[in-house]
Formats: sequence, C-alpha cells, structure tokens
Amino acid sequence: MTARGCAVLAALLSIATAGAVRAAEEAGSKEDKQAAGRAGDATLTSGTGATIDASDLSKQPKLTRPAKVTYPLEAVGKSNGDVEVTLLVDLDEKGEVTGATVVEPKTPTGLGFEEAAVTAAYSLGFEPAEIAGKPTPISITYTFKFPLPKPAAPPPPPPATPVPVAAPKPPPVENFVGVLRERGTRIPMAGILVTVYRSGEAEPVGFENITDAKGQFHFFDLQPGTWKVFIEPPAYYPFRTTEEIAAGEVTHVTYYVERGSYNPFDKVVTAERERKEVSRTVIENVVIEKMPGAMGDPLAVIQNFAGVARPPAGSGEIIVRGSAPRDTQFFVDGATVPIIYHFGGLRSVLPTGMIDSLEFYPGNFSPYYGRATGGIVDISIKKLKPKKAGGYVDVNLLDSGIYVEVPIGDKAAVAAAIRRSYIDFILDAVIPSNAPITDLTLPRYYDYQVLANYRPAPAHDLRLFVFGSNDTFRIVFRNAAQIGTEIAGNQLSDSTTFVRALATYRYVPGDKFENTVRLSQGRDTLDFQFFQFYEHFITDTTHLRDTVRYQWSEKLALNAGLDFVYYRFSGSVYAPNAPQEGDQESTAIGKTHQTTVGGMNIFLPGVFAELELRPIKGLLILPGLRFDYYSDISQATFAPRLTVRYQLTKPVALKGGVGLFYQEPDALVGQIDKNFGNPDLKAERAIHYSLGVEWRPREHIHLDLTGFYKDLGNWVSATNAIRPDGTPLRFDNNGAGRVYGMEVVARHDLTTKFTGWLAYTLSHATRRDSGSTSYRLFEYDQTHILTIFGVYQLPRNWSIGSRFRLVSGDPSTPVTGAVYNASTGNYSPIFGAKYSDRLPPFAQLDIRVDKRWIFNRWMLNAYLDLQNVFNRANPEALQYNYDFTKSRVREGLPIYPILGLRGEI
Amino acid sequence: MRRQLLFGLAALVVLAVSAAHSAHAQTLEQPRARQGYWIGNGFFGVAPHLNEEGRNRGFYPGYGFSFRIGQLLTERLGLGLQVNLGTISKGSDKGGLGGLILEGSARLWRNLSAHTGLGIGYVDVTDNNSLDKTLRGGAGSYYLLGASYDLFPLPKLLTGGWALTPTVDFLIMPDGNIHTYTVFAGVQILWWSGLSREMLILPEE
Repeated sequence: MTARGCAVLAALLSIATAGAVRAAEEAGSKEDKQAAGRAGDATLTSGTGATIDASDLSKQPKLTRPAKVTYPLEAVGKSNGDVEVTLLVDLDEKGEVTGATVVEPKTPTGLGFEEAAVTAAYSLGFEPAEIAGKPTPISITYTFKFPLPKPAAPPPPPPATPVPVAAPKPPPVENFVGVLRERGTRIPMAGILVTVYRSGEAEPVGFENITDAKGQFHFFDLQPGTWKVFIEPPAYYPFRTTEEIAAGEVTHVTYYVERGSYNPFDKVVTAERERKEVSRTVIENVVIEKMPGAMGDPLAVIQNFAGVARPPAGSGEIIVRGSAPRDTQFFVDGATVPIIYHFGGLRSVLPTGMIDSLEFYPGNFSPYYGRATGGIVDISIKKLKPKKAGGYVDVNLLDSGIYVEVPIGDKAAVAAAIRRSYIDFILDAVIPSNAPITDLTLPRYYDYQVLANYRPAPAHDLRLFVFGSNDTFRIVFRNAAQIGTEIAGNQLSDSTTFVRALATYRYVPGDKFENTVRLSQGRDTLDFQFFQFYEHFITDTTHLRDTVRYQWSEKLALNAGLDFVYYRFSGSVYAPNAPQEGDQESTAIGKTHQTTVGGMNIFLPGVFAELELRPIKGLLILPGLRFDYYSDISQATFAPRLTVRYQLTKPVALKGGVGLFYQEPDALVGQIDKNFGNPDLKAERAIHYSLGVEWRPREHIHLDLTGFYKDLGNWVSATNAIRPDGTPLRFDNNGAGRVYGMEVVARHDLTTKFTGWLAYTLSHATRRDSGSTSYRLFEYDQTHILTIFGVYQLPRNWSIGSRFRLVSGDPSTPVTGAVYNASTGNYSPIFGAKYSDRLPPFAQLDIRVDKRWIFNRWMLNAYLDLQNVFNRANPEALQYNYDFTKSRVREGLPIYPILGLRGEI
Repeated sequence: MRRQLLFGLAALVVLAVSAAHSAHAQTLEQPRARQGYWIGNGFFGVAPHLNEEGRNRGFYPGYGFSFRIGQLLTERLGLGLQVNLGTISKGSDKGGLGGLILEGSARLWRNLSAHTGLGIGYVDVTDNNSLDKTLRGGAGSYYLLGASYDLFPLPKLLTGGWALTPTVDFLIMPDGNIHTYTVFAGVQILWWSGLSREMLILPEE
C-alpha cells in the first residue's frame, strides 16, 4: 500500500516530520541508527493530512529488522557523494511494512535510488506503534542513506596503444516538466510514477519519472513529437493524455488527478484518547457536518447524545440528565463563553470550519471543570496545519459564511471566518409596508473568528483565537396600546454582543511534563427592551486557566491547575420577576422591580487536582478535588470526586464514579439580587453517582450501559416566606431534586464508510419545591429518549444520513378551571397539580443527502436536509381558548427541506 | 401515521439497500449509455385521486411536468432529485399539485429501472363556482414509486447520450386536508452525461 493508499484508510497514521523516526542504513554495516522522536516532537497525520499529536502515541514504532541498500550501479559516476532518499512507510498493526512511497527523492531522479529504497523498505521490520496500549497501523518517514562506494583498486595500466578519443556527451536537456496535483484540493502528489511513451515507431519507447515532494516530474531529451502520458496512482482514477514535444522548447504542464472518493471521513484519525471518564462522547467535525437535522451545527448534534433530553422546539437548550439548561456549562478550548447560540438556538456562534471536535460529559466530569451541576460541553478549536491556502464559502437557508486558512511557513498558520444571517432581508421583503410599525430591525446575527497558530519548536505551541458575535432585533410599534392593556411604551428589542480573545500556550518538553496556560479576555453587552421593561448590562470577563500534568511513572500521574474567573458587571434592569423552573404559566405581569449595578466585581477563583493511579494492570483510579470560591455569595466549596475504571477483559471495562458538584445561584434571572431575589442564597449542590459497563466486541463498535443517580441539594427554589423585617424572601435554598436513570449507547465509530449510534435514555427527574414535602416531575423530565443516527458514504462522492428520534412528551400542568377578572376582562386559569400530566410523545425522522462535485481547483458540496419526513404533528405545548374550557396541542415544525451549498478551495 | 410510516420506511429501505449495494463500487466501468449524471424534463398525464377530509372526491385528471437530475452511483443504482408540478381539474374545481422528491433508482433489466423516493409535496383545489373561491388543500410528505425505460434512439455514443424515457410514477401524499394518490404517466427526455475517460475501461491505444 502506498501513501495514497493510506488516503482511503482513516485508521492509518503517519509521522509527518522527518525527525520522528529516522534511520540511516550503512551499506555493508550492521549498525542501525534509530532515534525515535520524543512524545510531542512529531506530528501524526492521516494519509490525507489530518493530524493528531505524536504524544497521543503510547509507544513509538521501533526498528527491529534493518534493511540494506546498495548504491545503484547506474548511478555510479553520475552522482557525487552520499545520497539520501526519504520514504513514507506504511506499517500495519504488527509492525510489518505494507507500503512505501518516495517523499523526498534524489534529484535528479531516474538513477535508481528511489526504486532501490522502495524495494529495501519491504524488508524492514518494526515493533508496532501503540495508542492507548493498542497496536495501531501507522505511517512513518524513513530515510535510506546510500553511501558513495569507495573506488576499487585501479586495474593495471593497459598497454600503451593509442585509442581514439570520443566526443564528450552533451548534458541532458530538460524538455518536459510538469506538476501533479490532486483534483479539487490542489495538493501536490509526491512519489507518483509518471510514464511517457510512444509506440508509433519500430520499437516502442518509454520513460518513467517519480514526482518529488512538490509533485514535480521532469523528463530529459524527449524526441520531438507526440508522447502519451500515463499516470495511475493507487486509489485514484488513471490519468491519460498526450503531449506535443517541440524541438528546442520546454513543455510545462499541470495535471489534476481525481481521487476515487473524496470522502471526508478519510481525513479523520480514529485514534482516540484513553477513556478516563465514566461517560464522555467525542464527535468529530466531519460527523457534525453530516448530521441530518443539525444543519452542520455542532451544538445541535449534542441533542442526539445519550442523556440529553429533547429541548422545546427552537430553544436549542441542552438538558442533561434531568438538569436545567443553565446547569450545563459550555467552554471553547476550556474558556467560558457568554452565549453559545444565536437567537435562542438558531445557530451556534462558531462555524464548523473553526471546530476540531467537541467533547460532551453528561456527568461525573473531572475536577478540571467546575461551577456546573449538570453536564459539560467543551468545543476544541481546530489545530491549524494547512498544507496550502484554502477555505470555503457556505450558503444555506439561514446564513452565509466564508472561511479562509493560510499557512505561514512551516511553523505558523492563520485562519479567519465571518458569517451573517439574512433572515432580516427575507422578512423585510414579506412584511407589508402598511404594517403597524414605524421602525424595524429584523432579526439578524453575525459572528467572526480569527485563529493564529504558531509552533516555533515541537515542544511549544502558541495559539490566539479572537471571536465574537452579535444578535440584534428591534421593532417599534405605531400604537402599542393595541397590543395589551398592561404594557406601556412601544419598543421591543434585543441585542446581545460579545467578543473574546483567547491565548493558549502549551509546553510539552518531554513525555513526563506538560503545561497549558489559557488566558481569555472579553466583553459582553446585553440590551433588552420589552415595552416598558428593560435590561442593560455590560460584563467584562477575564478567565485564566493553567493546567499542569506530571507523569511520575507508569502508575502515577498528576493533573492540577488553576481556574480563575473575574467578572466586572455594570447595568440596570426594570422588569417583573423572571419565571423559575416549575412556575405556572400566567397571563398577568407580576410585581416589577428595578435595580442598578455599577461596577460590581465578582471573583471566582478555583484550583483543582486529580491523580491518575494505576496500581494494577487494567485498573485506573482517578481521585480528584476541586476548590472554588464565589465572591458574590461569599462561599467556598470543596468538591471531591472519584472515578474508577477497570478493564476486565480486552473488550470489557467496568466504570463508576461519585463526586460533588457546585454551582452559583442563577444571577442572570436575579436570584441573588436584593430587589429581585435573595442575596443570602448559597451555592447549589449535586452529588453524581454512576456505574456502567463498556463492551467493545469489534474495533469500531462500542456498547455502553451506564446507570446514574443525581442527588440535588441546597437547590434554589421560589418561596412565599417573609423575612423578619417583613420583606419577601423570594428564594431560598430549601429545594431539592432527584434524578435517576440508565443510558444505553451502541456506537459504530467513524470508519471510512459509516458512523452512527443508537442512544437510549431511561430517566426520571423530580424536584421538591421549598416548603413542600413531596417531589414533583421536573419541567423537562422525559422518561424515554431514543435517538438512532447513521451516515453512510456512497460512491461518486455522495453520502446519505438519517436520524430518528422518539421521545416521551414533556410534563404539563393541567388547567382545571378559570376565574373571570372583571377589572381586566380576562380569565385567569386554575391549575391542577404541577406537572401531573404529560404531552403526547414526539417522533421525527430526518434525512440528509450530500453530494460533492470535484473540479480541478475547487470542490462544490450541496446538501438537501429533509426534516420531519413523515410530517408528524409533534406536540410542543398546550394552548387554551380565552376561558380555558378548550385546549389543543401546539404543533412543532412540519416537514421542511433545507438546501445548502459549500464551495471549497 | 401507520400508513405514513409504511410508505416512508419502504422508501428508506430501498434507499438503504441502494446504499449498501453501492458501497464497494469504486472501480472503472465498461462504457454504456446509461452512465454518469442524468438530467431532463418529462411531460405527463396526471390522474390524482383526491380524498378531502374523509370524503372521496374521485379522480381529477390533468397534465404535468417534471424535472429530474441525479447520478448513477453504480451500474445499477442511482440517487437524484425530482421536482414535479401538475394542473388538475374536475367540474368547477381547478387546482394543482407537485413536490420535491429525493429519489433512488435501481436498474432491473436492460434499461428498465424502478424508482422510489420521499419528499415534500402539496395539492390545492379551488371551486371556481363558489362565492369565496377558498383555496383548499395543504402540504405534507410525498412518496414515490415508479418505473421507467430508457430508449436511446440516436446513434450510440461511447458513453451517455440522449434518452426517450417512458415513465409511470405513482405518488402518494397522505397528509393535509386533501389526501392524494396520483398516477403520472408520460415521457421524459433525459440526457445521460456518461463518464469521463479516466473512469472507463478503454481498449489499449
């Protein structure tokens, strides 16, 4: 198998830097030299260029069987000095050579060095590379050295007879030069055999040349006339053409050769990080892009994981294991972000072009993460290593965006992206000119990102990521009195803006020590106006993280660090109390309050430490501790956590965890404000328990069964209690909650053709309100959540994906009657027991088809995402008539198609 | 719902089988007429049977037009899109129907192929004799099952070519106020692009 063969096998890795594994063969010598690269020195890459860190290899491949090469006879006298030929050598999981391709050939080529090196490569033997202790296929660079043979002893001088002197041969003249590139991507194709021949003469004549690292080939002294050119790289369509060679001229050509399949799954390295958590789901960028119903949005994909409930349509919320959406924290490369969605779930604020992968922890997460009692979503930003300047333009129903990445030398790269919606343009065209509004800024959003990566040396990695977004919506009505009797003013507007600069420095001097420092600084601006009510806030955020890892021995490692957040908060608000979880719907506006904050400082220092203990083979124990201090509630919390994994047999692992988790009361809805809430509230506490088993019957198939239980205490709950001074308490920490359930996941990992999973969650989530002795259902309790997803790569650059979801309906509170209010002229509902009823179940099938067209210098992708294929009328909520005597189910979205286009260069 | 599930699952099964069978076909092919992309228009007689809110309205004959585009993934199996539009009438009722369909096709014998698909469709009817001329109908899921035969009447090309394609499609739209079962019967004019030389098994030159 050649390097191009590797291109279609996602499992193959290669060490792209020559310093990773290098051996010099001394002809006639038995001394082999090998210098395996240190962890962190090298870069692993798939055949098409996707990369992972070499430090992910738990064991480097080691040369066990050297091979000898001899200086080709035809090169003697034509080449001066020693010659080196670097190959890309494919090794299987046994360390045997399965393919070899020339990466850096001898120049000029054609003297036999490359052929000799490739032949000798098949005699090499290695101890296989390992990832997480498992032998894995890999590709390495390997350099053969051809020492110049010592001249033999001169033969005795011949008898002195005069010999006629031949005329000196003229130097070869290069008259056919070309570059071989992959069609669509324009990546130079190295090590490919190019054949020119012609057969119209008495004897067929042909010549061969191998492309160099830049994809260039050269032919010398071709006779004028028509020559046929034939190129047949493995995994590519054969390329055939003819060229006219003119006397005294040099013919220059560029050939674009089409790959058999432009399968994005090829680019994914299947090597996975060692599993340490009880539950963790990692999803790669290419799967995010192909998920039906997600429109290429990373966070929409999370909603299909086990343990995640279906959110209300259009909310985009992430509801994890019976926790409220705000209980789950979102990070971008470990840094906090104020919002993750545009307009309540329409799109996430990061385009997929900037994303490498995302990791999701539904519970029992490591002490690295804190200030959350639900789950964790951490989005990893792309590691820029482009081989060429490139990018894409994306056009779809909601927005358009552009992404560009440019390499700067071998050590640096820059990428930038911008995206804007055009819902405002569409609505502007359809809203009649006589609508009762005087000023209108229709909903629009934009976001932007700039990423720079600099790696001055293998041990140092510097990154700077600047990103931000804006969402704006504004309507000014001519006559607001027509809208309602309880409102004043005539403006409805919402604007959210944020910008973040995140600098990351990773230092990996060896395989024992590693340090990562992240510093982010940003500003969030919120302006909200709902007729007479408003919120105006500016928040400056500084987040510093420093994480150290030290590996004492194979049995002991320590991860520790600092996690410090500083907020400076200014603003004012005039509004009624925000509804809390469990509040009944009401048609009346409650009591309003006003508050102003000028430059409030909030410090959230945190430190954490976690040991990795491996006392016996297969057993991993992770005891950890996290300390947090919350200056706004003047409270310190200690959160011990423990995770244990035991590899019972090679395919079966047992796992379990228990831990304490804390989070602040919800400041955004005023829970700790003196006017809106209770400034004496303390942190909410959750204890996570989980126990499970993993079974891996095949390399790419995972079965996972995890049971979980969450005990929620000190839970903030609304109360009617009165303080001693007669003022209302509004909230206290006397609420509680319990969540228990089971998750079943059957996942087929990303291979070259298919990925998919079945995720089923059985759960029961309850809350106990302050002052109550009984538990009620949680607002988003969904007993059964089933998601089946799969995407399959087809020939001719097509792919097809499907997602099916079947979920229990949300709990609802029945209305048992209504009371007429003569002063307002409205009916007020009388509610039954809170969440004692349930909406009908939700079921939806989505299908997505992608097609990619390949042109010489670019590629065009088109997709059709058909959502709710069965056009099922899914229930979202109950709606009542004016006197609450009749109700009907408010339905979700019907069947609808979404078309999108993406051009890639 | 059960009926929708049956229609949808049947279409999905065919698409999935197409996918599974075409998974390993990344080889060079012998030159043929039915090869590469197809694109074309069709002209049809349309005979939809309407059921309006449980009342049988009978057949509403008319005529229709289709646009199809797609690609053969293997020698037998293809994927594409179809857009069809039709005008229908019965007595004083006049209306239209149509839809966008994701279509999978499978060659059964020679140039005879079966196709199936699913997508989104609509039907509307207006009674021109009524006073308010209310538009009745709706949109919803749209399912396709059909067959066609490609005739290549022009001189043979190395690969691809123009085809005259008699087609019969049976389309079902079980949603909305008006459910329809429609037969589209007519002829398509299709252009088969063929494959590039690199993708063909050609004799040695």
